[in-house]
Amino acid sequence: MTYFQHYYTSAKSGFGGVSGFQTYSASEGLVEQDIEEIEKYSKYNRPDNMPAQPENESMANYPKAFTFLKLPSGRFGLAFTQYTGKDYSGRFGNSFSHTIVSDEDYFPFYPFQLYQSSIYRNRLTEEEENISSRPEPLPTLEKVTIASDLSFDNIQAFLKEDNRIQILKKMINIILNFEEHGKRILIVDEKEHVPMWLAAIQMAFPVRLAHHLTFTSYTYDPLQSNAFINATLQEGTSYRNNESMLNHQFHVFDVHFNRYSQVEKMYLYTEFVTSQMLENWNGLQPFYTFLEKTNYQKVNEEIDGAVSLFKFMNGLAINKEELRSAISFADTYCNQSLQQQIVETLRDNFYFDIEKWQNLIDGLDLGLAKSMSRFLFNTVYIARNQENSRFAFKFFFDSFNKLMLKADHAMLSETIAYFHHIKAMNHQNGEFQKWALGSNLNDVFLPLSKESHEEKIKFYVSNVFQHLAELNAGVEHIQKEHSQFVLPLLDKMFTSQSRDHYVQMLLKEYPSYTERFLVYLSKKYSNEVDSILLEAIEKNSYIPGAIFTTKEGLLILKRVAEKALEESRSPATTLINWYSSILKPASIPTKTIAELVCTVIEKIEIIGERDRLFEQAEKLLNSELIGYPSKQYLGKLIISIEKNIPLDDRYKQYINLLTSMKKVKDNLVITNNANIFNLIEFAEGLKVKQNELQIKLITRDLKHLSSSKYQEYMVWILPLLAKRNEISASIIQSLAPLNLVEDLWMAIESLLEDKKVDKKQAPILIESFFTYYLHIIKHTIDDGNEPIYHDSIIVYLKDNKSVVKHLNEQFLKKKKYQKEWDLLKDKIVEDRNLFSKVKNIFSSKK
Amino acid sequence: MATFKRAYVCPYCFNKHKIDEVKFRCADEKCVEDDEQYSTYWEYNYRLKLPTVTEPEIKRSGLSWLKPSMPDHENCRSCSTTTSIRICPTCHSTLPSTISDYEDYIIAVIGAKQAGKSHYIAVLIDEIQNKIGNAYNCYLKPENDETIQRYNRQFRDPLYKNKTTLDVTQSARVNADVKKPLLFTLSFSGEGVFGTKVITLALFDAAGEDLKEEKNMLKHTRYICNSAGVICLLDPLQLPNIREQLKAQSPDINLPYQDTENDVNDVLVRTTNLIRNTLQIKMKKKIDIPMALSFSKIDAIQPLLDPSSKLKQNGRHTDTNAFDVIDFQSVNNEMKSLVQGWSKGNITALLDHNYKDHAFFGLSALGNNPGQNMKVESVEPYRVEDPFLWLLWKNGIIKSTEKRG
Repeated sequence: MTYFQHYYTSAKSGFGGVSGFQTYSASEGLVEQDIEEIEKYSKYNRPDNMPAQPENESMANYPKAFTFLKLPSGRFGLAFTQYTGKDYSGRFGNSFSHTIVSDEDYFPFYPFQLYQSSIYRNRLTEEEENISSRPEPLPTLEKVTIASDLSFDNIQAFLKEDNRIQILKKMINIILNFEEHGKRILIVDEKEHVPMWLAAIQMAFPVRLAHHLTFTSYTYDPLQSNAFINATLQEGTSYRNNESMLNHQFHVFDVHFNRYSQVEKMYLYTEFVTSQMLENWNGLQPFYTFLEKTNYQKVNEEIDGAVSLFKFMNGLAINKEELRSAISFADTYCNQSLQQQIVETLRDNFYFDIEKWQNLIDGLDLGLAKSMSRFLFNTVYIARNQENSRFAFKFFFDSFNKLMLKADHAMLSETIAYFHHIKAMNHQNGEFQKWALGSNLNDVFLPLSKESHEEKIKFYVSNVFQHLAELNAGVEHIQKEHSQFVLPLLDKMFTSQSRDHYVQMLLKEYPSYTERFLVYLSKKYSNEVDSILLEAIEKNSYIPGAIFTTKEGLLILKRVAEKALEESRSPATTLINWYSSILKPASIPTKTIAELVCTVIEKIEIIGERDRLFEQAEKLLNSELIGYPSKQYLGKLIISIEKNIPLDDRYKQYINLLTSMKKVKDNLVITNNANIFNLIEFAEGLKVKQNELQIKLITRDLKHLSSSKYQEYMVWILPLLAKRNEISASIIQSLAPLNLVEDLWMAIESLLEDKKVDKKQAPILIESFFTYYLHIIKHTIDDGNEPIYHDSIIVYLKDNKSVVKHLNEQFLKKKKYQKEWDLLKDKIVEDRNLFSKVKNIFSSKK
Repeated sequence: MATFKRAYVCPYCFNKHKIDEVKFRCADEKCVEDDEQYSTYWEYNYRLKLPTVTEPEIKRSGLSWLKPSMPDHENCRSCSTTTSIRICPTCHSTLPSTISDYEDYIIAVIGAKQAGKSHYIAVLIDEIQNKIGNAYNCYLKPENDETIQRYNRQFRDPLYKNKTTLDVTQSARVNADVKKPLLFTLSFSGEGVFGTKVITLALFDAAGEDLKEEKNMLKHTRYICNSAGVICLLDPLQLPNIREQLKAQSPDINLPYQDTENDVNDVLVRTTNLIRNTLQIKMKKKIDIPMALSFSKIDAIQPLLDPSSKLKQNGRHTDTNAFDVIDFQSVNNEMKSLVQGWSKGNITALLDHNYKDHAFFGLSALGNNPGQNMKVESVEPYRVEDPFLWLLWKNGIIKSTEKRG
């Protein structure tokens, strides 16, 4: 090992290139930055109460600053600074500082051990002081002499006196708690005691850690010092025993005046180490050796974990808090093989003793469980030991389930985060899912099904689904293994308020598993399940899976579809969508589809609004679905269309519908219906010469029209026939089957009234009608029956004498039906007389 | 005479701030926090816990925009205690209480090592408190506890109580305290045209080592550039010419150690360069910081002076409450010719060339040579006030016996 040296003093010449205070000389190998730092530590201010100009012999009484410092390069230095009185120029105020720097990370001894070592120079010689050229660099040293004044026994004796051990405990507690309070230590005591304190503090730590505790045995102004542990004198320095010093800047140990800053935290480490220091120095060695084996390289409260861990590893009982800190320490600072040993010790301690295990699990809190699990899995992953792996899983699931059952609302999300954290650690290990679906679920599902903690149930149910999915496990897996747990929970869910939202989520994330449960639950909660499925399909684009093609599933699906149709204003559209996205891909049986189409038809039938009815009907007619229902139902559809088609020019608006309908209708024989196409063709005179067959067909079709429809049709076609000069008695006969005579007349009457038949054609129309009318009367009489005279016709004739006159001429001329015409005329007169009588009665009364 | 200030310069870090830019430190010592800015500026490795710092909201609207002013109190953001402790927004050092209303005058005392800078300051302060105070009816008050403690410990107690010379001044490289000024307020009770006047006086004592390299000067003695005047001390006993003459007169004479590297010429050159570079003053323009080149320890060279020398007589500046221009000019002329004869380099040319205002003085802080044992039996200052009063006169703080120009 090599040690560098450095001198700082006021000299005539030196490495600083000036006269006055400067680095006088240094070993080659010291870096510039380190030298600057050493210079800062090397300044010396004598106490004000000690004269600037002492006699040489009294100079020994001036406090010496023995300073342990960490340099910017990472090296450590040990400086010894003392007052030397006059400088080269004869002025007072000079000091001399000699620093030893190790070339390695650490000194191989406690830094305090160099205190008053013979290696240190006290001052420059006169010759050196007055050197006029740059001094030679200082040699490096191969070894340094450790001073014997501060022996372990001396320090022990010092601590035993005046209950100093209690002060040391406070000091150690403060050091360990530094990260929290940020205050350094200031010792105010006799200058002879200070090295003892520094030694005692350092020895309370292993050598390597003691290097974190920089110190100075004397500083004039503690605030200016950069050391962690500082010592100063009660008098003659800038130290003031005041509020700021005592409570803010430092943790002050004013031994002189028995004043101490408040120490708030106590540590296990402090008790452990100080008790050993008093009783048996050597007893600390195994612990220090253990600590040196870890990667722990700081001095803070985490060190308590090392004590707990050490105790645990040595078979001593530790409590929950100690276990917590031990695990945390092991996780952070122990190397692999030590961690492996720790896991094995844990396993041997707890795993095989059910009572101990139960106590451990019962006593855990979330933080401890989390850190233990993390530690166990970390170690298991590195070492890949099966036995330890089982131990880790067992610990995790037992602890998690226990915590989950205990968790209140506030703790729940954190507890669940624990689960996800450990799961994430195991993301490449399928074992996790197997454990998660394992028998440990028994322990949690049973109690859960007795309480109604919705969030917890959700968590577990989701997990079952998720883990099954992650394992690619079949549905059977659920039935066999977990239905007994999951189902009661889901069952429970069906009474909860946020169920819908939750099940929607499950359906989305784990459709096949969720469907299975829904089918099961449908027995008990058919309405709820139907609603959930309906919402999923309509709002979340959910496509039901294979389970809905089973007999049981099909029933549900059909019910849901019917519900959808029920609620829909556009049943055809709804079913078409269902068909293309769900029914067809799932190969739903034809019968089911046919039944659904029938439902749609029934729905269409009762749509009151013509345009919507036609729109829906047209959609259905043009879809594949039209191939499914029976002829009877198709007939129903067609009838409802035909019933609603206006029998006049407006039919053209629905030409597409009619075209679609015709295709379907061509394959059907509908007997109780008027053929709308015949009627239209007839009206439009599409077959120019109205042949006999056509006329016959028309007659048949007209029979199936309702009275109002018939009148509508007549009002439409009669002007057209008239325009085409096709009005004749025989046509009128064809157009008016017996039961519709009066309806025909009413149509004609309204046409005449509205003057919709031109003047030339009107007489022809009237003549043709009455020819037919008289023909009917004749036949009735011929059949030996009493003829029927329709009131509306009689009234018309009475009111239209010109018409009667015209008809009279015509029938006289033709000589056909003259007898019947006379009968009719009598009827008019009779009626008129009757009418006159009534009229007279009324007028006489007036 | 309160002045209307728009900006101020912190006497610690020399950063210039607008007058309304200021922070406050809580008046309650128990209300503390880590003060990173202060700790960093003053090079503490650990963060000091100091009373909480509050930054008031700057209101620049309406009248306050036209005539911004420094707030004089603020409520602590942590404990709401009202505080009037104003601190620099940059270095968090406590500003002089007069900072908002009165002008600050920084007086820098420079000079080569062993020139007697610390002794000069020690005695000057005592002289201001007594001799000048009486004559000019002014009162010097330390601005803060730090000044009181430092002045007492480093200057007053050793010299006046313990009757010893002062310790070697430590370099600002290792002791940041050296960079801090001794802060005083000097109040003149008003009479005549000048009226009542208060100035803030910041005295800086440099370690000789810190003036040996321009690099160090920039780091540790930047205050020179912000000063209202520089007193540059020169130890005549370091001049070979004088040493020889003294030895010729009395061969047994015990002269102090001669530091060959301590050349006042070099210190002046470096100081001039520092000022020019920092303030970016071109070569053809002269520096307008008054420079008082003063021979310290003038008592030691009494044998070499002409019997009729003004330097053998006491100064007359404190006879009345006005700077005696005639006395000043005689001393100035005499010193100038002595300097030309004694010094190697052409100091007079250097000053003529670079400084608009400069003058030569001769003084002695102790009035006698402490000798080898460094004991000071009595402090008998001699013309110590001359350069200081000249600087006050040049800055228009005191009047003179004659009209200037």
